[in-house]
Amino acid sequence: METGEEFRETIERFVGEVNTNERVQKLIRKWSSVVNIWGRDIGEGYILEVQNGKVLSVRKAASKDDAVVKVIGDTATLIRMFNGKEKIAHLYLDGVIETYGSERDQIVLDAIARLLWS
Amino acid sequence: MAPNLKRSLKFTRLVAVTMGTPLASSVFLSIIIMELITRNIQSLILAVIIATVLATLASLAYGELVSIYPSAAGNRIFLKKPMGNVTAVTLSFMWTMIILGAAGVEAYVLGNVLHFLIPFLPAIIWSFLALTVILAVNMLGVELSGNFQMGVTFFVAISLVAVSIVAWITPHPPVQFSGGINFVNVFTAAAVGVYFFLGFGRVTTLGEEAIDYKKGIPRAMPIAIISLGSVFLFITSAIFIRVPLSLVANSPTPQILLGNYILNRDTAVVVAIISAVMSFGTFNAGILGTSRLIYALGREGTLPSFLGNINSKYFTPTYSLILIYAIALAVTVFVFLTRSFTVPVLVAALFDSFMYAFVSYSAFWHHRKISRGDIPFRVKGGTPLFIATSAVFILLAVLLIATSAPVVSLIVLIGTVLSGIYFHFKVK
Repeated sequence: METGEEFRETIERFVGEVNTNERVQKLIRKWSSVVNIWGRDIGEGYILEVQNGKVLSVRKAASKDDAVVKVIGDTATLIRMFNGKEKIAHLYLDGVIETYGSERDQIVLDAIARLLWS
Repeated sequence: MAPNLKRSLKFTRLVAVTMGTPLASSVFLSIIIMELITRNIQSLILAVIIATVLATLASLAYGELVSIYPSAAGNRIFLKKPMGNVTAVTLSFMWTMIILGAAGVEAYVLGNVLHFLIPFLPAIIWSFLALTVILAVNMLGVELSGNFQMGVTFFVAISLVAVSIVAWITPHPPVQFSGGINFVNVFTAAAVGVYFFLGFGRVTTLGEEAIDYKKGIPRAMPIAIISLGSVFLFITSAIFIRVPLSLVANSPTPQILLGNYILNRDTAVVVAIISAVMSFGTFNAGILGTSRLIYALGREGTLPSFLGNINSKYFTPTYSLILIYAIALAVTVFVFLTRSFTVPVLVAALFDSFMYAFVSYSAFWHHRKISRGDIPFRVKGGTPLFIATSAVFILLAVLLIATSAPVVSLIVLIGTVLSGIYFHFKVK
């Protein structure tokens, strides 16, 4: 499968899981944000609009900049991360991904991953 | 808002963030130690200038590294390639502990300042209350806006300069220039002066989306360090010329003595309020960022996993914050019980000197190994500059080891060795 296609499918699957997982929904019910997940090697990304814990829309990002929270990395790494095969905290500590946003938003992202795959 | 103004505001904020953590009340304690080492104004001023120049050079090393590794976990990533993962984790963990130790010293000073302002409670209770309030605020996830933090930082910096100018221009005893310059003492004092800048590198671990890691932070850090150095030069010399050394040596709050000596108790109250604002500003700047690192190590499995838990209502790392609180409180109690702030300040200065030496070495390593195109902020003459900076910081650390009580070196040595053994078995 082409990397870009796999990336898109991974993000869509992740969004589906976030919207249907009860534990995640309970945790982030008051969280609203705009997240850009950007694959720097292919120059493509997806913007997730989150309102009160629900991801309302996923659309292709025009650039890596237009979001409140940004997660930037090699596409293969992002695919592993959003498939639950890599911990966000580990990737952050290892400098493999770049994450931009408030401390709180970054912790929320990590907590979502934890609830989905722990 | 016009793009240029917006960009300039962002840059000013970066300078403010870099200045925010080091601009703490505990620097007054390091001023006392420096005065006791140098004992004359010319040596003291020279020591502050040397500390500022060296910290500026260290900030260039940080700048080059952060441009290579934007939005990363700071020291750990910077040191990983040249020194190996276990060493990098050990040193960055120790550095976090040092910051927490400094937070404990800060709470000690803040307790004394609050006791001066509102004497009905003892200083140790004020310290406890202040730390507890700061824990609660952080647990509730309350964050001050960036612009408010920027305002606080610049208010404190300008106030300190203003107080110093008043101290210089109001009538005072003639300044004594007795005694020559002893360069061993000057460099030892400069090593203590490194404490002035403790935590400036925190800006490199911020995840704010507005931050320009590749050019903005590297340029903001040296400007912030030079600005801080200027502020410290003013306040250090003001305390030296106005407050007798015998009084400074026995006071946890030389800044309040300065206020008293300039005019009267009212001036001292103003200085105490500035000092309290400094403390709350530095706590606000440092605590959540530090807790996030411990949280991430807990999530990764390098530290106990319960440290990776978050509060589901406020999205804050509860246990990580409690650990931070406990460590800072323990140091505060230690300082109150022993009545000696010298040990934690010197421990911090010693470890900081080593850390700047390692970071400068890492910048040297990356400068040589990584192609020019992959370093967005490349310092001209980086190879000799970084290795020389590293060597000088090692020299400062050796001077501190040689001139301070053995317990200072022992704490750094034992802490580093035990952490190293722990992480040797935990880091995958």
